[in-house]
Amino acid sequence: MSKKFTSEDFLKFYKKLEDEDKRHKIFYYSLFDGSSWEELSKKDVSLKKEFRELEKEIKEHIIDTLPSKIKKKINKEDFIKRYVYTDWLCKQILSFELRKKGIDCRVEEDIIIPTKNITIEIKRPVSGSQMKKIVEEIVEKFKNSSNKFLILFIFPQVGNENPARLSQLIEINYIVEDYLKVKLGKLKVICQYITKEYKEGYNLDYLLERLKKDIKPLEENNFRWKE
Amino acid sequence: MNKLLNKEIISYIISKLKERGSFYGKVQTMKLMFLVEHFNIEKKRIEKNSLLGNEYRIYYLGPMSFEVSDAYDELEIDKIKEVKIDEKLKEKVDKILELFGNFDGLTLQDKCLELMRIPLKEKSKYFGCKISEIVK
Repeated sequence: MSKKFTSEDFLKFYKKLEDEDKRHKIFYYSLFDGSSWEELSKKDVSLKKEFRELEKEIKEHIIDTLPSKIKKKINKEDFIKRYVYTDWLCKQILSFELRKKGIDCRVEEDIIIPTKNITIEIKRPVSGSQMKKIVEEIVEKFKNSSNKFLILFIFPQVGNENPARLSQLIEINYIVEDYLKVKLGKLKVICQYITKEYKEGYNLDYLLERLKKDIKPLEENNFRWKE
Repeated sequence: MNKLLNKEIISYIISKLKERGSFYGKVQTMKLMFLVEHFNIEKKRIEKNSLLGNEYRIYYLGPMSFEVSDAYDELEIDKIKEVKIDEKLKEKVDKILELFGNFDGLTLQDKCLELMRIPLKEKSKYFGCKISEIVK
C-alpha cells in the first residue's frame, strides 16, 4: 500500500459520479454493518444468508467501482471492515450530498452543521432489541452537549422485503423522539427505509430532502431547548 | 486462525457457562473469546499480543472478530456438552471464566472497553480499528 487512503480520495471519486443510480447504490451498500451479525440469533439463518450475499455485493458495488488510484491505497477486506461496517462511508456520502444542497456540514465523529449547532447522529439498528441500548447511549453521549440533534435511524432493504410495509413498521421507532426530547432538548428523529433499487420515497435523494426539511425547524431557535 | 480450534474453545466456554448457569449467548461468548485472546491476567490489562490469532476490531458492541463469529455460527449450541481443550489454553480460559463468566454480553462489552480505557460514549471514535492499533 502506498499513501494512506483519506476521505478526500473517496470524495474525489464520488464527486465525479453523475449517475443517480450509481450514487444511490453506493449509499445503499454503505448502510450495512457486518458486525451486527454478532447480534443475530442463530435462528436467523435466512437473514444470515442474505448478509453473506450482501458482502459480495458490497465488494461489487463499492470496492470494484473505486478507481485504481484508491484500490492501490487500500486492502479490500480492511476497507469494508474499517469504512463500510462502521458508517464512515455513509456519513461521508450524506455530508457531501448535504453540502451540495447548500448545508455547510462536516464529518467529525458525527455529521456536524457548525453554523447551526446541529449534530446529525446516524444509527443503523438491525433488531428491535437494540433500541433500548441505542437510546441510552445517545442520551449518555449528548447529555452535556449544547447542540441540537437530528437522529437518523436508517434501515436498508434486505432481500425481497416489501418497502411500503417495512417502512410502516420501522415508524414505531418514532416513539423514542418524545423520550429523547425530554432528555436532550431540541431534536428531531427521522426513520428512513432505503431500497436496493432507486425507488420513490426510499432513496438517497428523498432522504436528503427530508433532512433538509427537518434541519429548518431546528435552526429556528439557536439555543438548547428542553420541555 | 484455525476455525476448528476456535470452535473447540467456544464450545468449551459455552459448556462451562452452561454448567454455571450463566450462558447468555453470542455477544457474551464473543467478549470472553476476546479476553482469552488479549487479556493479560497477571497485569490485569488488555494487550496487543494475541493468543489465538483472531483479529478483533471495535464495533457497535465493542470488540468483535469475524473469525470467531463464523466459528460460533457453525456450532450447534444446544448440543454442546463436555469439551476437552489443550491444558495450557484451558488454564487461561478457566481463569477468564472465573473473572468474567458471570457477566452478560452488554456488561462484558462495557468491561472490555473499560479495560482498553475507551469511555463508552467515545467508542464510535474507534469503530473499525484493530485492537493492535488501540492498545500496546
